[in-house]
Amino acid sequence: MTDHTFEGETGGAVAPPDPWDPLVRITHWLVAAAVLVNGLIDKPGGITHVWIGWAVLAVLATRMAWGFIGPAEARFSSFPPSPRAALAHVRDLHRGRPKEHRSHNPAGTIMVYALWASLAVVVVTGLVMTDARSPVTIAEEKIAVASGDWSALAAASKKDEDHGLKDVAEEVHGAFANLLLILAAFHVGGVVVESRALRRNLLRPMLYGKHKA
Amino acid sequence: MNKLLIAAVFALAPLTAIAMPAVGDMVGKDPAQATASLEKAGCLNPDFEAEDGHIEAKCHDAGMKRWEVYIDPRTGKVAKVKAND
Repeated sequence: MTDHTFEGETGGAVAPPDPWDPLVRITHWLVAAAVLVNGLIDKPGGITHVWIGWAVLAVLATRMAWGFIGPAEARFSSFPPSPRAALAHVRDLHRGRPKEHRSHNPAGTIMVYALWASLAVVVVTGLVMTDARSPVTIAEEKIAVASGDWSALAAASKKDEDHGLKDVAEEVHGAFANLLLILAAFHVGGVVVESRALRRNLLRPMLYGKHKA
Repeated sequence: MNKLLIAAVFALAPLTAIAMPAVGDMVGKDPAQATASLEKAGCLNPDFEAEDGHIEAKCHDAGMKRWEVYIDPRTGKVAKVKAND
């Protein structure tokens, strides 16, 4: 992990930007909201759930692209995953001497990749479960069935050959959705601990940046 | 004799509680037909919804335990039965 000072940054000599660039902030909060709503609030398999799933696919793809073409601190090259560095960072944190990093710290980096990987698994298994049908199509099917007409669904549905695959996808989808919520809780806890150790609010740069003078 | 009868009732009670349509059973391709077949099989007061290409019938058994019965809309047969815990 290399530490740099960026011109115009205010997060500290070798700290992450304050604020993070707009796309990082927007995608971060869109994903956070999606995980909370789809994981805890809306009805699994419902239209809202499917719409949010497709939106997450778009947001995740955008953030992945930003990892190659975005500003330096948003690029994957700025936060390569290193379990050894992550453990060293946790040790430093425990001793009360965490180091600053230009992008995500090594422990945060592991969390970021774990969250993205889990999110990708949830999205892909969701697509398998729904045969990648659009939310509009699914809404039309639900309306038709609710009105007592099953013929449209019968015409659209495939043979049951892949039922086993869908069952597996459903189990994996649920397990990784729960894992996402657990990881999110650890992520929030990590931000609190790190903020206290650094005596700097790490949430603020992800919200709106430095206070105006 | 009475004790034997009571014991038999308690022993068989769980079997009646889990009476549900089985995978492969023909229940029908329309709501009226499916409702009649499902209720006859122990899936009471079914509520139908489209779910992942199937008709999902949400119902309860005689013991008020909730179940989800998935029907293939092309064949009208039960594709999956799941307890709704």
